[in-house]
Amino acid sequence: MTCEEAKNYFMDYLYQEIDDEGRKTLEAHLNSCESCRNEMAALKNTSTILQSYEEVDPRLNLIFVKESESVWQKIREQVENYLGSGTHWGTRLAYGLAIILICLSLLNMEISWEDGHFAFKMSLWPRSESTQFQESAITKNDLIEFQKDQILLMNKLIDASEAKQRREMILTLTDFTQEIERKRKSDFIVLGTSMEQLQFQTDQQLQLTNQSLDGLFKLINVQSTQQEIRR
Amino acid sequence: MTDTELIEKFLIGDIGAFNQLVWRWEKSIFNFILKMSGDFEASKDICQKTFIKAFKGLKKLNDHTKFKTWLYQIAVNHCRDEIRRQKKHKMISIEKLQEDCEEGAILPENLASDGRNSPDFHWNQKEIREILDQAFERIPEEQRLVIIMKEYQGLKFSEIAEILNQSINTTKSRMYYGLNALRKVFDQWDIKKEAFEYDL
Repeated sequence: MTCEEAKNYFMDYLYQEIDDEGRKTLEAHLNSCESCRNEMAALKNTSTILQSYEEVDPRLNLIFVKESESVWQKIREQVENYLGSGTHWGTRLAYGLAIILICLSLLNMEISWEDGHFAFKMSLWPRSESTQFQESAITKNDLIEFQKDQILLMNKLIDASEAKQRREMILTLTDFTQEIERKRKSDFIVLGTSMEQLQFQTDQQLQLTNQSLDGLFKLINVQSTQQEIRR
Repeated sequence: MTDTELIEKFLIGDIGAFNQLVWRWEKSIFNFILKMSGDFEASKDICQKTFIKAFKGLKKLNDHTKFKTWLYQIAVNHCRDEIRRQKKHKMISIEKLQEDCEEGAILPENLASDGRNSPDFHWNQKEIREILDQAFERIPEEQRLVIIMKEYQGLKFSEIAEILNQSINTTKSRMYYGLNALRKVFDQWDIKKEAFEYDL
């Protein structure tokens, strides 16, 4: 094996993609050729240096979710599946034209040549004479009338808004007054109850006092009677 | 569950199956893109775009056993677009260009430590990434692609050839010349293998 031939096997040998026979032949050459042996060692060194580059964990956290298809996309997919990838381009063209004609007829499309250009008209249902209208030029009077109508409408809206605000204010005041009245009554009740309690307590005190005084008078009478008897 | 089984489940409407594929391949694809572009944030975007494209295009993949190589093809295309975009916007000073021409590759200043000559000297992971990213930038893109796919993604030469749409011999040739180019860069920077070895 020559050095040129040996070099053709260097990569296979270095990365262990060489068969057994090739390995034996190459190793025999490397054992006898210092230049090739040194070159192989240098390539192995380089490979070792490259191996020190560690992998990084990107933590991308990629997650794919199903996209909800629009009606149009579903129709398109159905048509594509029906036509299939093997359909001749002529067949597809014919189908496409047929679909366009159907859509045009559904839309009642009318194409005519007027005043040197194409005119297109279409509607979703058949046109009748009564629905057609004629265009006419807008005059200055029309504009003034339109403006007056606009102003009247604005005034009505403002009045209606003011009336609504007034009603709401009245309701609010009424509620407020009723609330105050309720609180006043409640306060009086509380006050009255307190006075009654106070009166009751006072009466009780007086009764106790009277009882004490009665007891005292009786004692005094008893003592004076005893003094008289001793005399 | 194999990739093929997950793809078949996804095609009948199980979106969870696709998510499982994503979680299985996310790290590999991201690290491949990161080594190609050298930009962490841009790599996240490219990785997302890759999986979005895969999500939209998976029904058109006829041979489900080729999912891995197909996914890498999408990633490679996006990486190439990003590299082209980076080249457009990169500003390099005339002095730096001149230096690079006259002296060959120069180790970045922040990595040119005096302590490198010590036998106990070791690069930390951040420095290793910086050195290798810079070294990769100095070799042609096609060689870089092959080296990264072989060294880090564990792909066979036949798979790499399929992804890059080239012959197996071309792939091996680019690998060989790429490794030699990197060796020259490391020699110029006086980068020693021992400084990259860690005691685990």
